[in-house]
Amino acid sequence: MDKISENKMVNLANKARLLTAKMFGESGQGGHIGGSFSAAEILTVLYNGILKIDSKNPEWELRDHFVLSKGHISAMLSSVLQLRGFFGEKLLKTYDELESSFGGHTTTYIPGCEFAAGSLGHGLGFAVGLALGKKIDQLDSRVFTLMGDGELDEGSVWEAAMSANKFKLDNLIAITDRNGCNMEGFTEQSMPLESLEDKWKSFGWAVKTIDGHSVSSLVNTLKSVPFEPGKPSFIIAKTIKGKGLPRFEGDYRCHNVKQDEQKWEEDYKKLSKACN
Amino acid sequence: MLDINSDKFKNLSARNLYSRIFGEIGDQNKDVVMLGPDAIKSNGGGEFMEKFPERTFDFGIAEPNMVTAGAGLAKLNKIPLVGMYGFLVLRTAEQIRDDVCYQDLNIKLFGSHSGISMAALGVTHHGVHDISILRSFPNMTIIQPASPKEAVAAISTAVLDYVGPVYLRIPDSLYEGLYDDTYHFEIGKAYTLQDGEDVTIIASGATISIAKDAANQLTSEGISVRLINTPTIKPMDEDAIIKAAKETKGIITIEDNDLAGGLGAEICQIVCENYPTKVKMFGLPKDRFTVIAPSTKALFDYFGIHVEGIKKAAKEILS
Repeated sequence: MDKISENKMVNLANKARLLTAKMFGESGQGGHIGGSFSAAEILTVLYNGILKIDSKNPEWELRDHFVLSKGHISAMLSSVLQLRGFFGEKLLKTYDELESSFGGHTTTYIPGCEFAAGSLGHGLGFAVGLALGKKIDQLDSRVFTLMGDGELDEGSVWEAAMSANKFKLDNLIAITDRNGCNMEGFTEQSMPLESLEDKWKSFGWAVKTIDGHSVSSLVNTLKSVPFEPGKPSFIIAKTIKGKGLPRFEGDYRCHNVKQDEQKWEEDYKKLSKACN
Repeated sequence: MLDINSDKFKNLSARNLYSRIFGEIGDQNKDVVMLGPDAIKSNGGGEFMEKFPERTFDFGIAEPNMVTAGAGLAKLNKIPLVGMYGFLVLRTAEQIRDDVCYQDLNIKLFGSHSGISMAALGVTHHGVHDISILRSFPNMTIIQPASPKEAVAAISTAVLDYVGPVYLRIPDSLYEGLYDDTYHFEIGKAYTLQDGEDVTIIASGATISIAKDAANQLTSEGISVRLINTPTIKPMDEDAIIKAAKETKGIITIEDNDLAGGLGAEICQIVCENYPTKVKMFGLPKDRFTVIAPSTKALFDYFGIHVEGIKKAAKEILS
């Protein structure tokens, strides 16, 4: 990946952070900053360098599908979709309004959003169904899904992991946003996940661990799927919760943030500076 | 819809009939796929699996993932037949609500061994809360056949002609001879099997045989009974219920679901809001678990869901 493309991608991810913060701040509701900001680069790279999609034709039959399983970062996904051209910026201003398509968790009314997520542990199973359907129809397109790391506690994730292995879904790529934090503590305190690589390997997946904030690493890894023929691919993207706002970084307490207006203004300034 | 009078559907046990119906549906539409949690044959998917192994997927004993994966398949315009024992609706309720109903996907869930079909297997295997749960989910349609002809018509209509989430509650026993060859099934329609003006009996699925026996005996005793079969539990045929409330002196409901939130509760709601009348509800009692029993009939009898009880209730309404 050349430097110009890399800088462009970094810039887009930071713009997505700014848009997301404004949705939280301007709506007066606050929101899930921590997991949104840790996933900014992952979503930006997927939508701007990996997924075969057409923002003018979101229902294009031959598209890749992306299933956001950690639905509480709805605002970040919406920001990335907006920057990718699925809809105008004005729509983001409706965040949390009565009957809005845009709120605390995803809806299928968000243009380009494939899945209404909220309760955790559903996305991988839905992605399995999509990947299986593509195999039946012999489509070349792929299915990507992003889960939180705390979400991996859910039993349904492992049911889905087993079925992806059984059906040899090498058109399925699952990523976990490994920021190490749950809502009320660290993942390893709440329910130890390690060794995560070994777990997924033993479930029949091909696994890679990367820096989830390095756009070049994300691009190179996501372009190399499937990692092994006949196997689903799993990416452990190591990230920092709240990445982009130093006072939140690595602190699980930024999972769902409400703060006063003055602090939002400071945040907008900081995040604007990061955008070229 | 499949031909209800075809010889293919004659002289079969309920389980084999369901298996034949699903197999024939597979011939009609190549997008239909079968999903099962290990128990594909047991649920009634045997013929489909034999005819279309490439369209049959065993998801192991992991029903929540099966339902969610079914939703993913439906997103790609497949028509998943997702079978499980009826009691497993409880385990998969969130998946059905979030992944199937909220996203309004074209999935046909079917609950086999419904109600108290598996009486001897005990409380955990009694599917008596599925109607209560699914009745509260927007976009969901609930259908329960009572006779072989109705099973052919209702299941094939739900899968081949209707687009949207459906729960097919398929009982282990079906009542032969409920309808003649002209029967035509419509989603949302209740069927008056016998007209009458003293009292109305409303049943569905496995309880239709008790309802029919009670209606016959009451008729022979000079009581005019209106007997209604409602294969669609949701949406309920409100017009037929309100008409019965107006034209007879009271309503008796019979079901094999918990009385909290089942068929009788739905009918009470319709009656109370539109034309209050006397209602007597027969079903599994509220706030009480079922018990192990040697047979379904023994369990019905244990909870007073029998002809004598219904006759007594009818006479109380008329007294």
